[in-house]
Amino acid sequence: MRVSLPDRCRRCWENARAKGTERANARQQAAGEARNGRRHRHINAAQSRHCTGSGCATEQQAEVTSGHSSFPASLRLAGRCVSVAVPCLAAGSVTRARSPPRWRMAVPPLQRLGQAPRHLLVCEKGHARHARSRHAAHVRDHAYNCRVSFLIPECGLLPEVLKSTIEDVGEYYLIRNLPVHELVAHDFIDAFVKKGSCYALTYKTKIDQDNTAALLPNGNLILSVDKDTYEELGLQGRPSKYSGKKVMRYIITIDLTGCGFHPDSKKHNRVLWALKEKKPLEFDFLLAWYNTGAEGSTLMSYFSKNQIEALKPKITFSTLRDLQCPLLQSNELHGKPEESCSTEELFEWLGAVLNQVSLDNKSSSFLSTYCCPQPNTVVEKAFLCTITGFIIPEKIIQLLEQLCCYFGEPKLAYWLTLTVHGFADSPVSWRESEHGFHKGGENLYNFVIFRNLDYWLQMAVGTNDDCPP
Amino acid sequence: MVRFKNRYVLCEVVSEDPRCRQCIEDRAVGLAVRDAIGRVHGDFGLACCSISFTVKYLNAYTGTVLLRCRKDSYRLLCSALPFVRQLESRNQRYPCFLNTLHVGGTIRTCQKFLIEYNRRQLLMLLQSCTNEEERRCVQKSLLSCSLTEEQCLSGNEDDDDDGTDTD
Amino acid sequence: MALSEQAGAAASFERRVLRSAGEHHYLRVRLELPDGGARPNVAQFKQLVVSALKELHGEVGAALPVDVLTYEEKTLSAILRVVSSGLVKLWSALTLLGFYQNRRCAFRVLQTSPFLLALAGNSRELVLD
Repeated sequence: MRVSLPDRCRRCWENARAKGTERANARQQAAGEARNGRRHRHINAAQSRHCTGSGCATEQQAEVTSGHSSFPASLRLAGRCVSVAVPCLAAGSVTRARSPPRWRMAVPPLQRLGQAPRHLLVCEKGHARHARSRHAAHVRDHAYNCRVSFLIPECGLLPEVLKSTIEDVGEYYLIRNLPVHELVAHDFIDAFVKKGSCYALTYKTKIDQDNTAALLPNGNLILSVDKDTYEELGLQGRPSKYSGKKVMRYIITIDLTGCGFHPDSKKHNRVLWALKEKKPLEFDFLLAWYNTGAEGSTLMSYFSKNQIEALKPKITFSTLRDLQCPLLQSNELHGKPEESCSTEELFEWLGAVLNQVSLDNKSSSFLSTYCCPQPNTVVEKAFLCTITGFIIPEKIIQLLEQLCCYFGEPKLAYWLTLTVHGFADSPVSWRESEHGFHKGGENLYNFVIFRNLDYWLQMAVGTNDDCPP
Repeated sequence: MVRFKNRYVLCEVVSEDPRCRQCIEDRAVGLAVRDAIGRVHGDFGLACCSISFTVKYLNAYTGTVLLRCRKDSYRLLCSALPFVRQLESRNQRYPCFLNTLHVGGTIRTCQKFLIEYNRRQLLMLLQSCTNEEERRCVQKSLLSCSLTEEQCLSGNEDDDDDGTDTD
Repeated sequence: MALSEQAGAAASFERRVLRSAGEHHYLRVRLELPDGGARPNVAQFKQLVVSALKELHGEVGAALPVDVLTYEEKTLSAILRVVSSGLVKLWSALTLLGFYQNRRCAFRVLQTSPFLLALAGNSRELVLD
């Protein structure tokens, strides 16, 4: 028995190995043949290119790397390829860096299980009264805002000045089924776009599945359209940054105030024809207009033929009692252990406050282990105000100014915050940098204004976004 | 043409109960491992590991088991192996555990490792021999190892059997 | 004096860029149950989430730290917090959950974000009257 056992084992082993090697051999052979064929083709192509004298290095490089392991196979080919193969190899070492890195091509599915979509949080600190402070520019560059909320600790009643500023946030308009070509008409451009800041954004359109349009105050009309619409429209655009290898979305930018866009110009006629006859696009638009000078005709009267309604922003006040607030030091963005909290801790805490999350949980709690960052103090009451609607940046700048003035008189509060949420479905975030939805479409920013008028600005964007300015 | 890459996990079944040996068979080991993966990694992990999962080689006398799975999911498999606590076959169940010896990309490397491993085990056995008879027996089988690989393997496993028997 | 203080403060302009630095991801979810019958309380809700994780990802998945930050029993909506590396696991487990106490149920993931603050203002839910 003892003799027979190892024999069986050995046979087992050999069987197992033979099966493996056999299959591997077969595969290798098949692969070799396939590669052979491919290589043959490549070399023919490369040779013909070589003859014409335009040595496309990257192409050659690609075939060298792909056929690298089957080099002996290539030797079996006729001698005519040798003259090509040698320069190929020489070129290979030079252009290796240009071929795309292999790791980027495919992430194994199990690795993807642990990956989260990328996001960006930019924190800045500066002084609100400094001559070169850019905080107002950041607000102005973020054109479309759907919600503004501010939180003032140690404040029970809002000062009158702030109250009037909030009420002055201004109305906006919702126009149903507005053809886009009306925004390109010269009457509209002369009456509104050139005479102030005109904001328009399509309402209830999803940036990742629908066509979307937006009019920026600098006179740029941005259309974000899918491939079919783009091809039907026949206007010049560029492929979207975030639509992947197979482009399914295009961005068309039309400068309405540019010198080439005067009436009867070729460009103007083309755009008008495309939007009016070729592919009439209709959207529900949110519109707002801000001008400093003399009153002209209003949007209400201009669009009286369309279904237009004027809307007021929704304002809610609430007072939070016994709120745990983190301690902050204006010159410490990173925070100091035991002394002050960092910006990202504050950002999370603020989210918890606005979502009415309970802030004192035990670390052993089954439900939630979130708690207010350390160190913190309990403030008796805090004032929270939320404005929801289509809010233009000019009004936010006014509000920000008033909040800075809040510290003009001595106050108990050491800091206050102003949070602005952008539209998840707007085609731009800051300035004209493209914006996509991906998983959340978040683009928001938050100001923390300190008693000495130092400020922190936190700008957060999701996956399909450029870095904020 | 892209080759599917596999990982081979070489492990040994360790049990205090000598009757456990009769449980060591393809089906029982496969089921026990699958069960452990299902418990530890859930339906998702089980489905991942099930692609091309098989008990490739099994030796009931030495307790050596060679498992195969896809390269992507071998971490799931390896992390679940310590959770195998018993083998069950023919309505009998014996407590045991799996000791992972080696993870290789081919059966060949696993085999090489196993030979080396058994050789080392043999030396250890030699050192822990208690009487002269045993020692001579082990030495004899050691010397009978020849240079070619296959024979060496058979000789080795023979010796290993001897060793465990005399234990 | 005030001027020099101002200059000193303003000179210290600083910018920090945090790339994917958030440790957590947040999900706003709603549980859909057929009308009538018991509604889970907070603890039962959390238990349901953990059991969903255990079903799909086993004991390793059930050990993921998930926090129920808010829960409204009336609307069955909640905000969950999970470590970033567990987002895909949690989301998939919630999606594939089909039963609560032998009754059909479904989780709807309404919004997800790496910033808790972003869940406070969802422009897609903006309703204008």
